[in-house]
Amino acid sequence: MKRFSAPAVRILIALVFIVSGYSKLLEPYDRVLDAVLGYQILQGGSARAMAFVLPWTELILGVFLLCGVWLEASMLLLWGMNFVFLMALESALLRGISLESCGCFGEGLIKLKPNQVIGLDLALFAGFFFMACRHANNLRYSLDGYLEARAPRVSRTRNPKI
Amino acid sequence: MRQWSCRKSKTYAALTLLTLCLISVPAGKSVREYFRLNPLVKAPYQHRSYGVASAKLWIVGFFGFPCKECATGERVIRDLFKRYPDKIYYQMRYGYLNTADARSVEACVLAECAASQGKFGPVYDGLVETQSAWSSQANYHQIFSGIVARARLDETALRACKLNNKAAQTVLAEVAQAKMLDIASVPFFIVDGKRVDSVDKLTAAVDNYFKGRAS
Repeated sequence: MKRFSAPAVRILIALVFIVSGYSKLLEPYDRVLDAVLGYQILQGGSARAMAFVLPWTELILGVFLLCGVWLEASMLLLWGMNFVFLMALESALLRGISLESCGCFGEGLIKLKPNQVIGLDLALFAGFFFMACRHANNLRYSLDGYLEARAPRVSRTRNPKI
Repeated sequence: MRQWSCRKSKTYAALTLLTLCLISVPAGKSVREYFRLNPLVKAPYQHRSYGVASAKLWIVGFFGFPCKECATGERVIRDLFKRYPDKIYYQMRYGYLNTADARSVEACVLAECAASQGKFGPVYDGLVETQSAWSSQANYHQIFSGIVARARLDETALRACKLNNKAAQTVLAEVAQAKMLDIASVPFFIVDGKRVDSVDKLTAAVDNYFKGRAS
């Protein structure tokens, strides 16, 4: 069971980020920009850049995490993003900004209230922590793990003396 | 050597996944667009449509009141019907409603109630022709009454229609649907399942469709 728990957590977290990024990318850019501006943290060019970069980053890193490519880097970056989302949401709530929807999954089928999003972000944070603790098991069912396991065989066939 | 080979493989894998991500987004958008627009284009709308449903090209137009550009759009549509007779089927839907403006709401409800009597065309034309007058005057009811009289609407049925709220609900539902389709301004057209966001591009879009079919 322990063997599967870390990959299972990794896949679940990756799916959350993939759905989040993909649903934002399917929406018109203006809606994502409105969601970013809604937090009243970024303005103008930085908000526009964030609205463009954020969904792509979520999607690409989510896919990397799902497949287990550049696992450590993608995990750390997504963990950092998760922390930033959590801080942004908390900051908005503390400043009394009423967010109708967090804009986390665009305006599609999944609409979460700020309290639910905090719950989700905390669960993701715990998931990342779990993955970091079970680092060795993370490589199971991942391309990184597969390629690292395959590498010695390749070198052995090339140079049988090694 | 071993480390290098592994790193290289990881880079290739990452680049492949990156390419897949880049392809998946436009592909997903196209699929989403198809499933969102197609049901709308494939559903005949009896009381707010022109032309025959068997026509080659279906156009869905979104309009609202008051809207100066919608009047221009109407002229362009009529011109297209002259140029391509029996080849176009045109449906009209509500795409904008200023709920804060009673005139805008009443104009839409009046058009919808006229549609239920099979007289959408004359009432819509009347509302479009006089919109600069009724959208700026306080006594707009007089202008509306004139339109009703000219279109020879059954006034008892009209009153009943206004009271039962069904027309207003239809208008609101269509406006909500337009919002769901990310239609931010009117007039807006869907020509052969593709979005045309201004009157200026409408003629070109229709011409291109028929040019493509002719060659």
